[in-house]
Amino acid sequence: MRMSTRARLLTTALCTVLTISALGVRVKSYTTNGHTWGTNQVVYYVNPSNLYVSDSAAISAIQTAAAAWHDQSGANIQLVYGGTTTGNSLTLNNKNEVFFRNDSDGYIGETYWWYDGTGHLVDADIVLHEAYTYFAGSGCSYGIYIEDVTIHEFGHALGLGHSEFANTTMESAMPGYCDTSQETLEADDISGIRSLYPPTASSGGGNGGQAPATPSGLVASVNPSNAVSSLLLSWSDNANNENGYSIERSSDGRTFSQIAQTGANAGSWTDTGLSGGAVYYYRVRAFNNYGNSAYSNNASAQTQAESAPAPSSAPTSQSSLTARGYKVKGLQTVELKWSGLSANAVNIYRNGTVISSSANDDAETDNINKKGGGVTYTYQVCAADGSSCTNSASVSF
Amino acid sequence: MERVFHSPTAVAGALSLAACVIASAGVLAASNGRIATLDERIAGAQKVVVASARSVDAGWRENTYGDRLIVSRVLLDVEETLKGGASNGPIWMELEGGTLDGFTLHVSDLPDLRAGERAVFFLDQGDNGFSLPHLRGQGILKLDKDNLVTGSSLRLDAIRTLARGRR
Repeated sequence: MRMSTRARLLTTALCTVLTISALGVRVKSYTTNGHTWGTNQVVYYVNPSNLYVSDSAAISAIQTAAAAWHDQSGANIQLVYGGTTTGNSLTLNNKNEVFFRNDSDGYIGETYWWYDGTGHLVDADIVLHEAYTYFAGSGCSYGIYIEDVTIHEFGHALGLGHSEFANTTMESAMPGYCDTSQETLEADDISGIRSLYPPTASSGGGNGGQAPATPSGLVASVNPSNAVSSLLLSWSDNANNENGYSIERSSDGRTFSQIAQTGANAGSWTDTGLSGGAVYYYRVRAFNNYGNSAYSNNASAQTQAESAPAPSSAPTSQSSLTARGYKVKGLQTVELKWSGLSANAVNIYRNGTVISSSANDDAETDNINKKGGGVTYTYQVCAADGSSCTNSASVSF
Repeated sequence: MERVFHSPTAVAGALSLAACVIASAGVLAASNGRIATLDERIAGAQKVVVASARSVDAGWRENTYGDRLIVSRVLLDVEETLKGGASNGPIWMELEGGTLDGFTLHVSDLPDLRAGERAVFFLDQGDNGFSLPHLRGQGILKLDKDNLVTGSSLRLDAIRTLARGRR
């Protein structure tokens, strides 16, 4: 049976969601090829001869794509149009050429790049395969906008690999025919190109722009709906000029690596696919075209051990939990008070693990018996019969 | 590589992935290529094997378009044939890209392949006697030590199941 294009697009979108959610696939951020140009101005040439649009339209579209990498990121790299060429082969000739080829390769566009023994890129050629119908600017129908595919290929030419973040310019999969979304760099693309060519004042990175304010109040807590393999993060968005937030995670509280990026104005994120019973540490920072903020405070939380009973219910609207931390002779102590649970007995969870089971008397004191600070505890109280749970409440020392 | 447990959820996920890969045939027009389904790759390739690269040797080659490229010739030690005959003898495969004379060529839709790396190879016979990856980079799915396709949760077992279903 032949599916309609629309049906297949919908199937693809659905399957992407299904695949990510069902498999717990962890998306990775941008990748680089480990090589950069030894200059901040890279000249390219266009052979505009093609089957579909005028030469001038093709050149204009390719110029638009090339300019985006600098203009949208502030990265210290510029693709400079050097004029037209009659070149149409993928050859190491130290001339960066973009051209169309009337073949049935099956691919839309490909980039062939070369680097020398110093690790610097020395040549990059882009071929656009004319088995697809190309458009420039507007009027697309069952085809590809030259701008849309060429910006992706220019990303390769500058040293970027594919990103596994959905909807990025460097994502390997184009959303569909007549897409224009790839013409706008996403935060992940911007981070990638800026990692290769850090902005400077002259590149637009210092023209009065400011890095965003530092996020604060980062809290990590158990995800009540998936306590074994998911943690919730929340923080205060203190910036008004950020492109987004980068989220970093560590298993030891010392070595962090980025696991995700959000868009602007985000204040929360859910980490999934985690191991049960493990402690994870997090920090976040905001970023924009001018740089990164300082890091937030570190926050940690522990997923629930797989063998432990899970909080089986979402918080009921009638229940509530408050947690107050203080020290007794230097030892961490937390006073818990809750209401709204109707069961006779409750289980009290700290960082996703049951620490006590008691009568439902609406109060408990957790004597942690540890000194020091820099740690956050997240509590939740659930009816022992699993009928309901309170909200989560966190205490930091 | 993130460890994925072989749990019922993972199995269900793998099956849903396979189903989706099948159902979304030909939709994802990648900016560097159209992503074929696993089923399409198995059906389209002349041979499908699980193999490791014993050696990778680069040379210059000019093709019919006048492209003068570095091409790597890879000797594959076949451990399992999923399609295309029972012989498990070594296979020579050509792959654009490689390092020679102080320069390295990389192609956006093709993976680097180093000696010792293991993958599922979907292969076609080239004109010069060498095998070629079917649909270029889509014809090589690298495997990790846990038999997961690198960068995904797709298991070799799922590919085996699909391949056997087509026999």
